[in-house]
Amino acid sequence: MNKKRLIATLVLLNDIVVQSIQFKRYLPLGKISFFLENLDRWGVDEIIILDINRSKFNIEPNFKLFEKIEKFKLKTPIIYGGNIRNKQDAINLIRYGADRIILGRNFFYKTSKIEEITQALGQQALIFSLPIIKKKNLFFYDHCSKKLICLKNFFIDKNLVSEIFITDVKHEGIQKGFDSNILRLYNQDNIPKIIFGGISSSYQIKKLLNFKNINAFAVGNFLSYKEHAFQNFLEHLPRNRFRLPTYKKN
Amino acid sequence: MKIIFCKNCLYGSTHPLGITFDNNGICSGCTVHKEKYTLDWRSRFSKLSKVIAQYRSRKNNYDCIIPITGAQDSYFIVHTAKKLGLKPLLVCYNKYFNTDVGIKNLSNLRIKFNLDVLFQNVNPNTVKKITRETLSRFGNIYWPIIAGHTVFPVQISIKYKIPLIIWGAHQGIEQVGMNSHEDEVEMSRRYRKDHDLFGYEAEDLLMISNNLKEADIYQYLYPDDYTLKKNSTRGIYLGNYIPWDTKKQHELMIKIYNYKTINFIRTIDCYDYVDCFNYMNIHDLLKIYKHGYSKITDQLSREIRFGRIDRESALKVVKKFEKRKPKFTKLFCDWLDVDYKSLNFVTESFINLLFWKKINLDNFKFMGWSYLNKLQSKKKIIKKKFSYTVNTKLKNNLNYITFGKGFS
Repeated sequence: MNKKRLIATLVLLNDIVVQSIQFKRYLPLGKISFFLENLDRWGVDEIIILDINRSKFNIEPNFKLFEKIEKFKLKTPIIYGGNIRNKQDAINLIRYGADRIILGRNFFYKTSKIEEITQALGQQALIFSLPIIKKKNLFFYDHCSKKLICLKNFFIDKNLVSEIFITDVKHEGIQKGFDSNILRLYNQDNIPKIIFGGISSSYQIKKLLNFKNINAFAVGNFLSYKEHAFQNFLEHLPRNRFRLPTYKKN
Repeated sequence: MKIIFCKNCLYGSTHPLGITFDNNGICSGCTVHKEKYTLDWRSRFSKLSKVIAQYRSRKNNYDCIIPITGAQDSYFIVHTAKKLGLKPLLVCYNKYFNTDVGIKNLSNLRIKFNLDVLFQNVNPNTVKKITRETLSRFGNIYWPIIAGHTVFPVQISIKYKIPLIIWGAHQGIEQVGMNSHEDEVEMSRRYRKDHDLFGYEAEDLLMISNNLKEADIYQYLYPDDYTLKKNSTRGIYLGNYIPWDTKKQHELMIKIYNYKTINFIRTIDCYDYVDCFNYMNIHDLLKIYKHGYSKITDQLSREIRFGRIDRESALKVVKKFEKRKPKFTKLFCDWLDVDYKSLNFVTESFINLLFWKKINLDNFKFMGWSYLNKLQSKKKIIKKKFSYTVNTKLKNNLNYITFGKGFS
């Protein structure tokens, strides 16, 4: 059985890491370099950086960030999401040092546009982001226009991306959050998923483990509250489904 | 660069801890401060009792560690711990810039609470060496003090196998609302490096300095993850469980324990930092050079949030105090063995041109927060004047009070 990954998510707003609460309210946390250094030492499986103001103000992805990151010589793979507009942006990000990238709303309305990026970088480098609001049905939440678009007939070709990053927008940043009904209602099972939004305890992860095709769980705010928060998650997760926590010695 | 100011307090968008603003122009610090009026603090205090219950020692050992100084909420933290029935071990890092009032406060605290205190006295020659380095590298004379104050309790936690460390308020929450109180955020190495140590842990100093050797920074090394885990070391903040009001708390401590307070030249707050010659003086000057505001802005933003002063009056007070010349600079020069001109040369090299306009070689015009902050608050003017109790003054024969290895 493949082990699941536990991913740390950093929400970046105007170049500082923030706590995001439902993508509506933000509290400042600190400089990204210290978060990256810390998470790398803790041994997280991957780090997702969500640079949320980029698409709102239609600014190019944060290439300069990778110049800053470079000096830390991180061992942890970095996944970047933040207004990737086209093939060139995607290629540049990988060149600058991103290991994988998250494609968001720029591709939601025309997923076929992803194909040329897949051809250039390979499916494994690409993740597709679906911020979801659950009402009676599931809706894609466009955080720039604040529009909701029904996901009933939305499918993405499984050969285009390697994983879908599903965010429970309503519960993002809220304790005991992720609504498992999203997984019950979401009807595309042939692409592996990364689950994000309100995952605040290992108990919640355990409850979601039986859903089909979940590769990874992403945790945001809740990794910044306590020392060894990441290892504490792993300590309480089944050893056969997740890897062991590590505590670095000097 | 356009600086946005909070419509409620005096904070601007360039706050070094990071700050966010909501759609109404209110800063994250003010938003989180509102929790002091909305949360059920009785139930939060009960939660604190539950948290500490597991740390009560059954072997008549210490239950927890409390880092103390001769000022800064130390009395209130110890007072609360005693109220909770804890037996704490007090630990104190000798900052060397000690005032006689700070030493009296420390000694009084020890006597009144009848508790054991451990002092850490790092070799003053080493401290001076590091201070010279941090002053010239990043314009900070306080790095050894903050590093020592934040690492010594952790080292003692491991050495004495006492896992729980109790701190007062979380600076990030109090100033810029980094977390909700309900997040119950705890001490972390990441926060310490980012916000307390200006991005440099002890070992990082070796990378940027040719003058420091490993032996110099040894006392400031933070224990590794494995050691911390093995000992289950954990640092909690009382501010998450008590609606923290440092002014009110200090006044209670004056009344119950005769906590001593003094006047300062650069602020109206007479309660904080009475133990140190430099915090509200040369350290505060460096703050306004680098960040365009001084400590009084922090203190009065807090008072605005508590509704004890209105925004306009606070801004007037800030403007009156922040440009005053710091005192005791000669004492610092003598201690560090530098002459006044050299010190000025170094400190002025950290003047941030975002907040200061160069007029000529030695002259800068202040254009910091209080100058740029033109926002008019629609809030009512608070007519009732608030005041601070001053109950002592520094003795005439001014000198750093030395103890331990604290020869000058």
